[in-house]
Amino acid sequence: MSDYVEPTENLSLAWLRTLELVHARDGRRTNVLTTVTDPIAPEEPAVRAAIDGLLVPDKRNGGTIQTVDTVANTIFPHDLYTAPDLAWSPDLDNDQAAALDTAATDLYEAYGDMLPLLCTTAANSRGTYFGRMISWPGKGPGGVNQLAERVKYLRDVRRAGKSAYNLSDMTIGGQAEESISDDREADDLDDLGLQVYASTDRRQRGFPCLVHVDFTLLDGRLSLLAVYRHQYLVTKAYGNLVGLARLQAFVAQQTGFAVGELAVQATLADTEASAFGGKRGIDALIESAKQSVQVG
Amino acid sequence: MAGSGRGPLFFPTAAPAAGPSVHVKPSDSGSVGSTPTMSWDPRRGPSAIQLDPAAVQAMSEVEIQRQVLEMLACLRRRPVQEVAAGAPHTDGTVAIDSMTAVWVIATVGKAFGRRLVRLSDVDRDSLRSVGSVSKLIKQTTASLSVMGAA
Repeated sequence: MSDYVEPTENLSLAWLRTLELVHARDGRRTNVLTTVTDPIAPEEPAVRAAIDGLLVPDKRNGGTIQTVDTVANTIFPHDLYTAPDLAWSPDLDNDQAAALDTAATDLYEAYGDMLPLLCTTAANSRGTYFGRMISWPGKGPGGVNQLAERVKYLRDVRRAGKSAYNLSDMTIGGQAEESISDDREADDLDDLGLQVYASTDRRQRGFPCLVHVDFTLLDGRLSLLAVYRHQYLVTKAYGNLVGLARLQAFVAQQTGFAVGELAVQATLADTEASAFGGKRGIDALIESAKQSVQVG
Repeated sequence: MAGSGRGPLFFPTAAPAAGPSVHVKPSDSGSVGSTPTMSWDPRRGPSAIQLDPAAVQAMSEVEIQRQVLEMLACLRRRPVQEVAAGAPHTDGTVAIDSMTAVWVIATVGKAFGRRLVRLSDVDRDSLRSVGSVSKLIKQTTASLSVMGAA
């Protein structure tokens, strides 16, 4: 049965409430929707500390434990983006517009250059999420830059004085591949989604867990929906929220729209209790984070 | 963000560097020699960084650290001194995140025309600071041929 997590202002509380809800319902739930109303609101430092304290890089149950920042970097490599102190607007002068374009292009180029090397780690052997966004199919430079196309499209929308775009829907694998393989111009985009999943992918688990990212513009606010086919609530979910919020903030800055809500739909949400001390282990994590919230 | 009436919270703010193509020498940062080891056209971005592989190979670990700081200055379009003043890692050199370290290794590898490492074989501790990534570069480039390097 579907579960709806009451929306929260910041991503720390959104993660905590989602973990609590799924944990209270035996640790695995289908179709769990989590919403952050202000994704760029500051995190709760103490909640972050609780999850950071648990995610010490290590091997566990055949997988690799990654830090929150490492997980976030798979979606948006924050440290490679030197953000100018302004947001895009049709009224910017040439130098200001160039500063924004340069920052984005530097990010795309730097990441494209390192993509083949990134793919030499086992966790990235099938590519990376950000690689799929800026260089589809995401294992080397020179692919389709879906993100740049969306930025260009949204700037055109802004230039036209529009503040809503309601044609954006879920991108189904094959549709998205068709749309990005036809060398279509950004002006022709009828979907703001970013494809991170190939319709030819036969894997049932593992990469990619994130199968779709969708942007929706309404009332001048740019909202983001991410769809996960398997959301690992301890090892990945917090970092995923951080990375998605950064991605959303990047697109908002590059297009000049306000940041709207961030939603994550997990087709299967999993507390990974067996890898973290069973029910008691998850109890302890939640208790630690909740105490931290009260103290913080 | 602009539309929400406040500045970006998620990103550091910075103004882009401007100016013509530069050749960076180790001596620019108060160090060794006069042979240019890196050139970069800021109009083109970090992909345009060009390193002299023979010069890199001849560098000591400390010299490579300075070279890495200069590369990071290009990547971030900030003065070298500002990058060098970043938060220190426990080894005393500037702390960097693993993504940035991978970019450094990839960029040096491009100069040699080959991949320097497989990340699966790299200790995560080698990706945490300017010092640790410089040590890795020193180790991996020591025995490489520079024939056919980019």
